[in-house]
Amino acid sequence: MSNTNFNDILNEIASSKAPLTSYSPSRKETVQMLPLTLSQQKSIIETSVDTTLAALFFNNTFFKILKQNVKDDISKFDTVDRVQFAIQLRSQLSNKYVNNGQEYLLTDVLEKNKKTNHNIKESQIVSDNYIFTVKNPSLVLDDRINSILINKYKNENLNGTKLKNLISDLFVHEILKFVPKLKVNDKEVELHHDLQGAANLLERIDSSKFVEITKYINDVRDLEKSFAVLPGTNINIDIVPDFFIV
Amino acid sequence: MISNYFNFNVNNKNVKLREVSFYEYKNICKKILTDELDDLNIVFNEIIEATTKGPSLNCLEKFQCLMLLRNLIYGKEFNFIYDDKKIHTDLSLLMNGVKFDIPDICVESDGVLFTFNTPNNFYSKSMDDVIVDSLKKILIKDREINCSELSFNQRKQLLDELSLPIYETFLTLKEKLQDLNITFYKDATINIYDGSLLLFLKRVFQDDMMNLYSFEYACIRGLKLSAMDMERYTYPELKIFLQELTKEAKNNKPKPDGIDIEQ
Repeated sequence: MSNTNFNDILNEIASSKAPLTSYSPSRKETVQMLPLTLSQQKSIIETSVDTTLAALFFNNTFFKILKQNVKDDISKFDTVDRVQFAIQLRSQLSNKYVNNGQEYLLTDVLEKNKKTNHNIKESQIVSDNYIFTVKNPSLVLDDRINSILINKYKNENLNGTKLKNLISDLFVHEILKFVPKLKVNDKEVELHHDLQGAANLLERIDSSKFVEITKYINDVRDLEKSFAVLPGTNINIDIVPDFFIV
Repeated sequence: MISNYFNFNVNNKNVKLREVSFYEYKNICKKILTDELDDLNIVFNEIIEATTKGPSLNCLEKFQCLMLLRNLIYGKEFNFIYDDKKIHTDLSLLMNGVKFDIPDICVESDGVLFTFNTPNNFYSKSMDDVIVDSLKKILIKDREINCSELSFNQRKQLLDELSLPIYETFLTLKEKLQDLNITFYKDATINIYDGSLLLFLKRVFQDDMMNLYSFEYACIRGLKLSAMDMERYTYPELKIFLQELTKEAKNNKPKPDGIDIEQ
């Protein structure tokens, strides 16, 4: 087939492609997105290969997909939205989700989530002379920080000291994701401008100052999980590469 | 280069197949020394490209052409080791057992009907490659797109514009494509997409390089042929020439008393 004829067919298919309508819990509005392509599904499945960094790879890959498929400014959305978007894209491939032999419909989860309240707000945590501004990270920030860690550790043999370093880095960078500003003795620092410098700064702070921040982070992670709960159960869907193997 | 084409009927397709010269055959043997499936895939596709004329072929039709080509060089006999025993077999038995296609495999997703059948390539290294390579038709809103004549990349582009569950589709294809497996000997079968087709082709084409070089040397020395001549004659032809020369030499052998009978 000539390239002109082929391009005509391709354009025709592309223009007739119906976007999915999803819902953003953080924005409380509908979002249009394109379904997962074959190569996007493949790239998700491939992220399950590396076990230690699998979660980071998966989130990184999934962010790239959302950037391509979401027909809106991706920087508007946060990590809670990611759960809803993932379930939406997966439901397009197959609406059925099986857990312990029991079948569930993902559209039921998506409907339930429209009524679930996204109640995490930006706030300030005071610990002695430190004032931390805490906020749920956007998908863009989450991706930037995950990329730093992936680049640092992807070629490393993760055992012994390297593994300890990774765990310590994961902790510091997790805090960093949630803390955009830090005020110490009237001096305010924007932490998300220079991520590497900010990580170094956080490493120097006594970890007892992070107790309240960790609670805030846990609240956000719990909220994310609540968006993955199957209605009428306490079963959580794990948003991992295997979820997309249908 | 040899330009003598034979007509063959391969799965009801009229295929013209060209003999290869000794020079081409020697190069094939060199190129298939590798065990890398990607490299073997390229080599065997290049052979098909260089020796066949006619409609596009799926992997089993290509396989059949390569077996025909091999038979032109060596005849139908093939020896191999199975269960520590040397087995002599006739490759035409294997060729007669090749099933070229199966009933269409249809998968519906998001209102689009995808039709699959025998893949085109000898080997697919990933799930999505099997899917792309086996795609024959797409029916979208009453419009049928025939994908058989599209390149691999064009089919990949089309599938990337549509939503198809990769794993479920792959499992369906894997199950149905098993019916195309070629029974080689007893329980030994050749799978059509996991690379075993290529490894089998390598086995039937491979030759001892030292034997080939010795043979070439004998041709150059005995038949007074040049390197260019090796591109004009086939391996079987050169074997016949050498046999004739040997016969002639035997007949011209001087008598024990030292009197040459030809003199």
